Amino acid sequence: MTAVFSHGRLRLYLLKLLADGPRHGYELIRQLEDRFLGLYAPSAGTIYPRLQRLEAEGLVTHTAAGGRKTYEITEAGRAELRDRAAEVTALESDIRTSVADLATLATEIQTEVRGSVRDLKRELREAARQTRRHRWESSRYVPPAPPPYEPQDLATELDRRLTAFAAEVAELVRGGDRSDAQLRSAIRALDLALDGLRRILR
Amino acid sequence: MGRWIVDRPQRLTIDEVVDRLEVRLVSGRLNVVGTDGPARVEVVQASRVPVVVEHRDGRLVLRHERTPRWPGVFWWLGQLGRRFRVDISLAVPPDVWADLRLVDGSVIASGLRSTTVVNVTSGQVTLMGLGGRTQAKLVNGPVEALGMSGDVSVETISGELVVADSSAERVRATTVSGAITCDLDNPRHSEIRLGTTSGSITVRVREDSDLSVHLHTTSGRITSAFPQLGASGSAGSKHSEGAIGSGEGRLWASTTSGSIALLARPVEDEDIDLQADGVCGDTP
Repeated sequence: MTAVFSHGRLRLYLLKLLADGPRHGYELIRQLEDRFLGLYAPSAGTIYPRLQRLEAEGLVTHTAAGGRKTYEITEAGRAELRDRAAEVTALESDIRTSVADLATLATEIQTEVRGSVRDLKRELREAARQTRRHRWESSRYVPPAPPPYEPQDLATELDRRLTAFAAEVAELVRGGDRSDAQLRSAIRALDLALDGLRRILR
Repeated sequence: MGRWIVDRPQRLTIDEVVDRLEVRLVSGRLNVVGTDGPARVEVVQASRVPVVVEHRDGRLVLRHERTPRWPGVFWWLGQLGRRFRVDISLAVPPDVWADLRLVDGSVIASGLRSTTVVNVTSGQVTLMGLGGRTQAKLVNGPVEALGMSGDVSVETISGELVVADSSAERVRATTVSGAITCDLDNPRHSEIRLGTTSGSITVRVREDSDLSVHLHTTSGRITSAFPQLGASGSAGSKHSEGAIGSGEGRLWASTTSGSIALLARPVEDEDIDLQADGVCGDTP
C-alpha cells in the first residue's frame, strides 16, 4: 500500500489547494484537516518548508499583508498541476479511502510521524554540529583560512566545471531507479539553473 | 449496553455515549483515533482467541475472553503469539479517557484530547496530536510523539524517545539506554525533565524561552546554543546551569554517559501568526 502523502504528494496537494484561490499557511492546514475529518492535521513545521520549496521552484508566490504571508499559485504551478492531473485524481481518491478506512489511516499516521521524525533528527543533528563548531571556533585560536583558490583562466575553469557538472548529474541519474516525480523535479531544477545562467551571461 | 464476541474481521458502530475506553490485548496492532461521530470498532484481523467488545455505562472495553497468565506469557508470545494477534482500529470521541494496554506490538493513538495512558511491554508507540494528559510506558521499544500539547510523559527502558513539533507545557521523558530527542515550541512556564543513562539528549526550545536550565552529565559532553548558561565541572561530572529569559519555566536534563545538546529554535513570524489565529479563528 502506498502512503497517501508519500514523497512529494503533500506538495502536489498543496498546489491543488492553492489552485482554488490564494490562502495563507494556516488556512491550508485547516483545509487539510477538514479533508481528513480532523484526523490528520499537519503542523506548521510540515507545511511551511514545503511552501518555501514550492516558492523556490517558482510554482507559488507569496504576498505579505498585515504580517501574514498569503500564498498564490503561479502560472508555472498551474501548468505543473495540469501535467500531473492524473496523479491529483489518484491522490484524491486515496484520501477518500484513507478516511473511510481507519486501518489505512493508522498506517498513514505512522508513516507521516516516522518521516517527520527522521527529517527532524537530521535537522537537529546538523544544528548541534553547527553549534559545537561555532562554540569551538569562538573559544579557540582559529588558523587563518587559506587564500581562496583563484584560477588563472576563468573561462577554462567554467568549462571544466560544466563537464564535471554534467558527469555528476549523469552519475546521479544512473545510480538507481528514480521516480517520475523525482526526474521531473530534476528537470525543473536544470531549467531553473539554465534560466539563471542565461540571465547572468546575456 | 452491548457485548460482542469478535472472532473474524468485523465492523461495529456504537451509537451510545462512550467516555471511557479500556483495551487489554496481547499482541498485534492497536490504533485509536479521536474523532467526532459515533464510536467505531474495526477489527481488521481477528485473533483465534476471540476479542470481547463490551459497552456499558459509557465504558467501552476490549479484551480477550481468556488471557495467557504470567509466567507463561513469553511462551505464549513465542510459540502461539498468533493466537492472540489482532489488528484493531477504534474511532472514539476526542474527549474519551483512554487506557490502552498491549503486551507486544504497536499502538498508534491520535486526536485524543483528555487523558491517554498507553502501556506496551515490547513494541512501539506512535502518538500524534494528543492533548490533555498523555502517558506512554514501554519496557522495550521506542515512542514517537508529534504535535503534542498539555502534559506528556514518556518512559522506556530500552528505546528511543522522540517528542517533536509539540507545544506541551510539561514534558517528562526517561529512558535507560535510548536517546531522547525533543523539539518543542514550549510555552512560558513549561517544565521539561529529560533523563537517560547511556543515551544522548537533544533538546531544542524556542530561542525566546523563559527557562531556568540545569544540564548534567557524568561522562558525556554538553553543547549549548545559549551562551548565557554557565558551565562548570571537574573530572567527575559536568554541569551547565543558568537562566534563559526570565527563567520562569524549568528545563532539567541529565545523562550518565550520553551527550546533551541544547539548541535554539528560531521563532518565525509564521509561528506567531499561527498562534494568534488559533486564539481568534478557532470557532467553527
